[in-house]
Amino acid sequence: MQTESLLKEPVNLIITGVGGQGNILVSEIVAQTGCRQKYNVVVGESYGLSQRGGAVSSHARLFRHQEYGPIIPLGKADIIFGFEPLEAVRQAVDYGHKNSCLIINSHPVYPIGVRRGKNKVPSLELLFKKLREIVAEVLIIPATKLAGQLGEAMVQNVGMVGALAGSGCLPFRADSFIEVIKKVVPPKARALNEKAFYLGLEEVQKIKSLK
Amino acid sequence: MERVGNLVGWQDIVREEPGKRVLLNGNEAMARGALEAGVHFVSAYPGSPSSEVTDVLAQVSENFNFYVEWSVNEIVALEGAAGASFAGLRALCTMKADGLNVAYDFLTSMNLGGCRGGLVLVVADDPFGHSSLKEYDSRFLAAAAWVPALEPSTVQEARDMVKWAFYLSEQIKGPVMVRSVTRVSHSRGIITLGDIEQTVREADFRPTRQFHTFTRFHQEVRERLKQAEELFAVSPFNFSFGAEKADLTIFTCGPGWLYAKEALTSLQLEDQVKIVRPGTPFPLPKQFILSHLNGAKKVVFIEETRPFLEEKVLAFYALHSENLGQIKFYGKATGHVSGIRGPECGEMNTDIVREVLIGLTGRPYHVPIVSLTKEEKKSLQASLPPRDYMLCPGCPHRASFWVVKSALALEGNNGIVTGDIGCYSMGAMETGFNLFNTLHCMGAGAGIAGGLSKLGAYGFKQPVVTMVGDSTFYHAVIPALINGRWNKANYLCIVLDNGVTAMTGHQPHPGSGKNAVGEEAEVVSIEEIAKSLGFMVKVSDPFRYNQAIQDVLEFIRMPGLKVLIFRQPCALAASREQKRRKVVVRQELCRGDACGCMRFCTAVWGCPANVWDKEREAAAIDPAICVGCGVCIDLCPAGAIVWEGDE
Amino acid sequence: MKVLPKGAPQLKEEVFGPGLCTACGGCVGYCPYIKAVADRVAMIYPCNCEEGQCYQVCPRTLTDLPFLRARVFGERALEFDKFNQDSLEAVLGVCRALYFARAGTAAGNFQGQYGGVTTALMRYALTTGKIDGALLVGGKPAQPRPVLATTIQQVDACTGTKYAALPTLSMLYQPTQNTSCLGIVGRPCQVTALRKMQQVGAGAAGQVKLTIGLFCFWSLGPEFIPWLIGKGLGLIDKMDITVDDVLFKKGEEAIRQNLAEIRSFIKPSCQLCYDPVAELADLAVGSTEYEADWNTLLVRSRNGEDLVKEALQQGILEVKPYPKERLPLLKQAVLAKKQRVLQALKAEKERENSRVGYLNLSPAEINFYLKL
Repeated sequence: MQTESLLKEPVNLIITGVGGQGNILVSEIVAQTGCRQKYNVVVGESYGLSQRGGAVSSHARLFRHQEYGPIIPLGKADIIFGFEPLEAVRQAVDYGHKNSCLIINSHPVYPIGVRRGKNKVPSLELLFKKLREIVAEVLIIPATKLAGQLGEAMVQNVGMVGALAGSGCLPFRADSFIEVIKKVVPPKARALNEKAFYLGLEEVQKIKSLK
Repeated sequence: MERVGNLVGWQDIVREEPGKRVLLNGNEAMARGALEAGVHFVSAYPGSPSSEVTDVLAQVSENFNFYVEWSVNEIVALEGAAGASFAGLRALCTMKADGLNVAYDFLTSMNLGGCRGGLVLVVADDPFGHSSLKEYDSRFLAAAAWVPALEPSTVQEARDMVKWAFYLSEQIKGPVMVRSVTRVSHSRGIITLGDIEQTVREADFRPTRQFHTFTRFHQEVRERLKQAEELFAVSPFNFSFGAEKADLTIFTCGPGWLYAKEALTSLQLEDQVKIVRPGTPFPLPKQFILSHLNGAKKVVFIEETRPFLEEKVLAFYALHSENLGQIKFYGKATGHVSGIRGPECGEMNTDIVREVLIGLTGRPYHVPIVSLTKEEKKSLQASLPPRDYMLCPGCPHRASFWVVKSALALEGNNGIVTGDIGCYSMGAMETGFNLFNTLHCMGAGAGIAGGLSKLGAYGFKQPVVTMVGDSTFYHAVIPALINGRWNKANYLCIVLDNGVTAMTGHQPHPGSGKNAVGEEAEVVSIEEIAKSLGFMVKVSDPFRYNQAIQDVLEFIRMPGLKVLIFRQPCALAASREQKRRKVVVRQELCRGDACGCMRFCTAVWGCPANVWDKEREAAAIDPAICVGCGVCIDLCPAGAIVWEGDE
Repeated sequence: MKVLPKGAPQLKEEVFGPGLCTACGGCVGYCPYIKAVADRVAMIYPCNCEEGQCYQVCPRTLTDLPFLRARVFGERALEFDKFNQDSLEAVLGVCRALYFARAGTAAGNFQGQYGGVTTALMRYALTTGKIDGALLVGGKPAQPRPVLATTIQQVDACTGTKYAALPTLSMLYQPTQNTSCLGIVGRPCQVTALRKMQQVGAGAAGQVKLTIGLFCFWSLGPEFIPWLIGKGLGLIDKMDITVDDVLFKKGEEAIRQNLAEIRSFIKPSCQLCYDPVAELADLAVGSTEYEADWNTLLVRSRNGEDLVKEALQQGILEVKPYPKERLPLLKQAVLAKKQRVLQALKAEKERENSRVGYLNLSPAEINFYLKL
């Protein structure tokens, strides 16, 4: 599916997670990659107070013809790309459709209500099962674990970009992403981020080949 | 790539050549607009969603040789920028909507006499309050101050308007406001870089009586606004789209323009509905508006925060209804268009516009994709816990809040805590142990504390504590302290000094030891200021829990106004600079579920790095996010949390 | 007796809320929600623990005195149905011997309160290895602090009564403590709390082998120390409350203050204290209010008796008989307090016939006091 044309116009992608997971870096990577492939891109971001452990989401829209606004309409996200499973599901409820592809880091960051025992701990297995029944594709990536193997859990986000590249959901080749990653990541962290990227990419290919 | 505020891609602004298409966010684009206009002087106080404009300009000021400062607050920033303008230079001042209130006294005064070099004020509103305590519509303030305002819809326009605003300002010899909103400032889009104007100018302040504030200047301001309106009347910032003549016309501005367009496309209404997009909300060009009201039967308003455009258009209609005939209006003021939280507030989106259009046209909406059913959504939603804000791992504010909560409980007289604006506003939330009893605007906490402390004669006996940030201290607290000293107020002012303006992206402040462009700067010491005002002052470390409690107790007991400084660097900033010691849990000592603490560290203390090891049923530390502050070591009642190596 | 599980919310409602905390420290330090700074104790967070050790060990929550007495003194119980008006134990509690006592010639050199009996005994227990740590109150009267003394020097640094109620029992939860056998000097409420702690196995309470209770008709609340400092008495070395006034000593200098002023700092919880003479201690020690360099020493447990005998043999202690003519005065003081408290508790709320307020007593005991 790695063609250089969009499947639809616009392609709507939601990048979500909790504050501090590197949402902005990833939305920059995705948007820059799109931009270099001669797409028009618009990204709507939320940060500020929302960055302090709250839910963060970026809406990225890729298009060639008409210009679009920075917020994806409800039920119109084609790809939901989540660094945190609860937030990914939350976005799926509002913005997902039957044909959405969900790429989710399996590692939960529990909200304060759960930690304080005010809210129940949800069963992720059950959530994922339900998701699979409802939407077209659900790819669960153990990105935090993979990044942990590299000794730096923070790079789960770039690992997830690898998974996005390998998922075939966007018409961009892995090299296109890598080019941008090299540009936006500080030189001393490039090797680590590239490794994380390919770990995520291989992981998603493994999952897809099993299907 | 170096990070600036929340941005990682800012360098394209200076790295790429004119003509090149680059991906920028709205604030970067406005910074570029100022650069292209050859700005000489930039001053600002940070505030979301405006901060990155000046963040970026501070980074590039060296390349382009202009002056940038973070000012102590918005009014000082605007006054400084006006000074530059009076001397003939181009000046930019940026702030968030709330900051405009701070700068407003000067703005309304200065606007009377006007200015000389282009003076542009970028005000970023935050409809919906994504990163603000209140939603605010600065267009009303622009109108009340008689300051012309521009309102971009896209990132490209944000650059264009800021650039043109300098020209406009010099034409009319008065300040110009550019009103951005979150969805412009914090959106990324592609813009084509323009040439950077070489505006080499000599600063020269000629003796003049122009820069005064006198009522007699009102007529001059009116003239200035007329001139602006004339320029607006022919401005490409005001345009229409869709059907030439249509019964149904949408008036929109800001990001509403793209939502309206998308809604029209999705309903295939492009040839039946007209969109009118004025980019110059004040003064709204009358002829332009009237020409588009002409022939309309139904008019819909799509705009963010309050119904400003709507009220202006309705006023025009009231004067010209005879010629225009019957028109029905649908907007925020009429209650037909609502933000997510209801009418007359909030931001817009495509869904809101589409629903309004469906309601007015009866046009069916054919979705090419299959939506999730209500049941499917419900089944997913049922198990989703809500997510509240949390202070960062190792945040010193968490320790400060716990200290003050403890101290007030020990003090035993139902102490009141007044809060203020910054990351520590989370003292009003669960993550801050719901400590704050009041929360308003910068500096309000100290003023309220002063008032409360004077109520003894009316039987008020509770001790009063106000907690203010370091940046807030410089910005707005000092006058309240002086007032308290003068009027014998009796409260404890705790300054949470983390070394930076953390909330808005770690901008330096007068206590940081450096300025906006990273040069070393004199530290304006909080304790020296407080001492010089005659207060009892002490610097305390909130990470030394027991000592800090004693300090608070001791200070509360003392009569009068006292200043206690809780000093610990912002954990985010500190963790970027250095890795600290590792903290571990001796799980054999952790009392687990049997602990009388009921999992204090994970459940109540709530540092995200304190996690629960489900398998071993014991506490653990998440090494990926722990910054090694070690506060939980002191707080664990079982002594199970220790420094690595101390096991 | 059936005890319903109760926890932090009830402790807050029944004890902290009405201001009845004795600042014993029995609940301080086990959980992170009850904190103490100097002589202040507070619950700082609405902990909703439903079955809390904090509630179980508090001397102002339901306290089953007959049960605790039986636990400490075994068969030597108090039989209130058989006591007559003259019984010594009916008023003073289990009592194996009652003396005037003071530190003996072999006790060492230190500055104790009155006869220095408490310090002499703690020193002796520590030197002879009967205990390896003593839980005491150190510091000057205006800066008292709990001390876990493991050396003679540390014990000596704690001599003298402090009068501010310090939550010393919190030290028993210190995770870093390195002792196995402890002695403790405490107020009667603390002795009760300690016994309750031992019952539920709280902290290091099980390590406590020697308990010296101090006679205490009231102690002073947290406003006392700020008052002292306000009076310029922040640096005094010693204080003593006599029948008519309060004496503060700073070096050689002596300052007297009116007792009435000090009385306003008496903790409200002391008004409901049924036990001014540390009924559950191994030994109870007080002033004589008669001879300034002697103490009253009340020997209660076999354990306490053994220690006193040994100390007498070694010249650590010296005793003389309790003067006959003073006995009615002592008994009357204790009796009056018990009656006052029973009546107050009864008036407040009577739930079962064996329970008045926080106390669970036998009907015989209640009748004994109220009918006298």
